[in-house]
Amino acid sequence: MKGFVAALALLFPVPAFAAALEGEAQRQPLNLVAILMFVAFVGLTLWITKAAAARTRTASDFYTAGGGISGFQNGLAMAGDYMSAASFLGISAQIFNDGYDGLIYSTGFLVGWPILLFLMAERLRNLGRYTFADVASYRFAQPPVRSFAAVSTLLVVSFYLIAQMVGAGQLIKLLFGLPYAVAVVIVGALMMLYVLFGGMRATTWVQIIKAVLLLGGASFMALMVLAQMGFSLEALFARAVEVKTEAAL
Amino acid sequence: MKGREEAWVAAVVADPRYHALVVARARLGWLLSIIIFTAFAGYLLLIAFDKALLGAPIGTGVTSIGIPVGLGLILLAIALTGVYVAHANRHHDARMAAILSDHAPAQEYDA
Repeated sequence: MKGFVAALALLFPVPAFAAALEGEAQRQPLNLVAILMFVAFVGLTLWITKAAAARTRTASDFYTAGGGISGFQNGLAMAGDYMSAASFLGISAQIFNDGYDGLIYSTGFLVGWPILLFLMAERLRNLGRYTFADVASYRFAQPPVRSFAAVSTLLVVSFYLIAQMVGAGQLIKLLFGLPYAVAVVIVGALMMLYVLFGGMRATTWVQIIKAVLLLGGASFMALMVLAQMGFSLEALFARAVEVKTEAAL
Repeated sequence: MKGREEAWVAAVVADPRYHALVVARARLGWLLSIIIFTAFAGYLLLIAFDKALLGAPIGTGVTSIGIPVGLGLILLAIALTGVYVAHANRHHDARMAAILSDHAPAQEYDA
């Protein structure tokens, strides 16, 4: 197995600039609790994917879970998408690094979402289409609209995917002490497993679990950090200023 | 069957309540969009032209004025989303359903 993974890593040679992506994450001593939690989560979500795959029969099952996802479930799933480890860790890191600039960045993409809701969401629902490309091709010539949508989606997703895979690869490298290239290949293989076999139903449930875990975990962390400071924001900021003396603004 | 559906659509389009609903829905959407857009644009302008104000501490503490302003923007986005969803679920959907059922063809219609 180990030889196989190493062979896979050789098949995908790491470009020179990947050194920059590797960052400064050091290999940590074996963290058994973290590894057990990671394996348990991957195991649970793969089991859900398998269960969902058994129930997927038609294209509608695969793409929209047969329309069987309630508004609340879908909301949680989208929250799970939004609160990915990358945004959670990335924003924390950016605020740590750049101070207030991190907060500005995090308001920027939040503010766009309500406008989409106010102006677009109801029209999409009333038309009964799934995506913006569906709506546009309902009105305009199909082939050019669909090709444009596909190309721009793939372009955006590939950049997004790179960031996600770098983050997840670093995480696995940290947890298991694997070489970075191997970690990225494992992450990519897991991602493909989830989506190829589970379709929308499994993806949605995995996102729901992720949202609940992240909401619970981040709230718990925030609460415990505040508890350390006697529930005083002022004390928290005073301590932050002590630790990090450069002014951000 | 096709003719019946077209007659239904025509009856709904001819209903003044339908036009009132469309106008009310668009007005709410644009009003809320303008509020959030103005707030965000104002925030950006403030960052661009008066950084010192945002960086000024509140009272004698270390917390800067920018913190509650930034958090306020996030909370505003959440609050406006709540307003829109509550209004759309409570009023718009009910009004649309009433118009549709008033003009529904007498026979069982298989949507």
